Amino acid sequence: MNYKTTHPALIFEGIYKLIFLLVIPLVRGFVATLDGGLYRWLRGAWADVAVLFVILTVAVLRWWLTRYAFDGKNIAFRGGLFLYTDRRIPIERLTSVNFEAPWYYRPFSAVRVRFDTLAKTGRHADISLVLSKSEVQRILSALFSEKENPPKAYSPKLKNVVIISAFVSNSLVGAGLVLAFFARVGAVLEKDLLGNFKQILTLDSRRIVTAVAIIIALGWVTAFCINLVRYTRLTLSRDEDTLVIRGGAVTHRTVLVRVDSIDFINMQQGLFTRILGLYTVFCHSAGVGKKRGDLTALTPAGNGVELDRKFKMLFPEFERSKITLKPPKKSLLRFVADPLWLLAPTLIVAIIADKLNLEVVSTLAFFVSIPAVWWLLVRVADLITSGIGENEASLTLRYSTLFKLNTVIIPRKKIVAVKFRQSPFQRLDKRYDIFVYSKGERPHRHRIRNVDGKTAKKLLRMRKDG
Amino acid sequence: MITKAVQIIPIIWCLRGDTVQRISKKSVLLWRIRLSVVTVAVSATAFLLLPQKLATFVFAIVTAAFCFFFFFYFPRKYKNAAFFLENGLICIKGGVIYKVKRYIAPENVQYITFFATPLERLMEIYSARILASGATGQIPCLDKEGRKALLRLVRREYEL
Repeated sequence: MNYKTTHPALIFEGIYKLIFLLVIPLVRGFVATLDGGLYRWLRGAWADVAVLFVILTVAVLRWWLTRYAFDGKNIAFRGGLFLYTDRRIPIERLTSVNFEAPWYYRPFSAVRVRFDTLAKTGRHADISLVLSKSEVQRILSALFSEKENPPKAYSPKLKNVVIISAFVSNSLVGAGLVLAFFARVGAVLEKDLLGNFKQILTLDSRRIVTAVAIIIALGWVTAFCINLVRYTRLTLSRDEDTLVIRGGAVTHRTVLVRVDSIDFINMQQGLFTRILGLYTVFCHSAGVGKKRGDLTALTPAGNGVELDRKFKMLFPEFERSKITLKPPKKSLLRFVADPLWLLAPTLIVAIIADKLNLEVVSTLAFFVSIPAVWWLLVRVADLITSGIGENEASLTLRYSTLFKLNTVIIPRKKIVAVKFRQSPFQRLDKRYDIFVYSKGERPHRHRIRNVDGKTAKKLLRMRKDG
Repeated sequence: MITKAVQIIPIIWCLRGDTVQRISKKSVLLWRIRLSVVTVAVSATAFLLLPQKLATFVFAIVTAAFCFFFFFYFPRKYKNAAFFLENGLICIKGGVIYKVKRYIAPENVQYITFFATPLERLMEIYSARILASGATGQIPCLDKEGRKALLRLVRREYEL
């Protein structure tokens, strides 16, 4: 194989990794300033130059020693400054390839490329390189032969992009709740009786509370704007075995995902989006969504009909099945027990604190009870909709995790383990909590509460007569 | 029948010898060099920073540990370390106090990473990390023949 150096832009990443060394000249400058001596700072300037020289030399050496090769069948990587590594990955083992062109790389025609497999490498890609655009085109055309007008392609409308951005930017509801909490605490502190310090404390407290509230609001707006920019120009297309996800206005991103490496598809809703009939679809595969900024949400849909249409187009292998095994409605307590454990004590504390005129405590307890009530409502919705459906090739699972309602489609071959758990109370009516573990770089657990064990074994094809 | 058994046994041993791959003999030297460096560093630090009696005590402990690792632990570690194919699975065995055998299916292997510190590169030995889906295995100190044998086991032979 013919090994080549990567794009020189990799030197910038090397410099960035060693930026912490700049603390030496900074501290030296600070000490010199305190001592009151420009002459003293100048006398030691050689140390600053030496640090900068080390940073630059190490970065350049790291780039020079890093080599890669791609021959259409394998991607290989060699290099390392102190620890030399050599790895070669066959193309058929790749599950996803991420191409990222940030705005600061585009003038140099540099693209960051990450190759991922099912090997457990945590948050790091199996191979990560910075390559030229022409080299990226060569790799892309070897991995994916793109037609000019692919038959299966989807680009969400702007309003749907706004929905995706709001959904992934940490709940709008949660941010609103925190804001309301701080506003209320500020008002309470103003009335609080603290003797001699009342005026000073309440004055500063109001400012602090206002500042915190503004920071939280700005934080949510910033996250929303970043996600909006990230999901602009989102396009999904399919050929026989590859899903291509493109998007990003500032950083251009392209992700190739091998369809048979997708571990499961999750159509997620919150309580609000459930009422509005909106879904956000996530696909789980090794390498997808590893880094902050990756495109993880695929598509929102207006309603079930639209979702089915898009699904059949993009994921024909993942057929949604009707839920046939559901928990009985009388198992309400099983579903709401966890949020009640949180809600009951907080409400009791809120009531007692209110009677004792401890406004800050009662305010805190009241605001903690709100997410507990939300969680309770989600669990009630979960009771109504959760269960297991199946067809020849896959299972459809509906369940909730905290504040999210999930509809998950897992191919049968991606299921690695199933656990049946039964509490003493469940023994009375032969119900179980079913835990389905799906294959992947990071193991995923899907939990369906309180269903009939025999029927579940049949659906999961765990009985001879199933 | 006894004659046949006598004829078959050497063949079986030869086959076993062919498939069982040991790590490089240089591994013992490498580990001893590292041990010596650490021992000298710890002893020097003790004598520089601690009162004399305490430093002597620390030195005695360090020397005892040095002798244990130098004469017993590393030679046994080398002797026990090996990898081979068993019932279609790659078996990596090793350990001194705890004996470990790890099995990985070759079809689950995603790729192998060979890595080496500057000293290991000087000695031309590389450690291997086998990355499979859901598991990893590590084999220290392989020479070129050892690496080729490992690549043969996972059916991924290429020029090293």
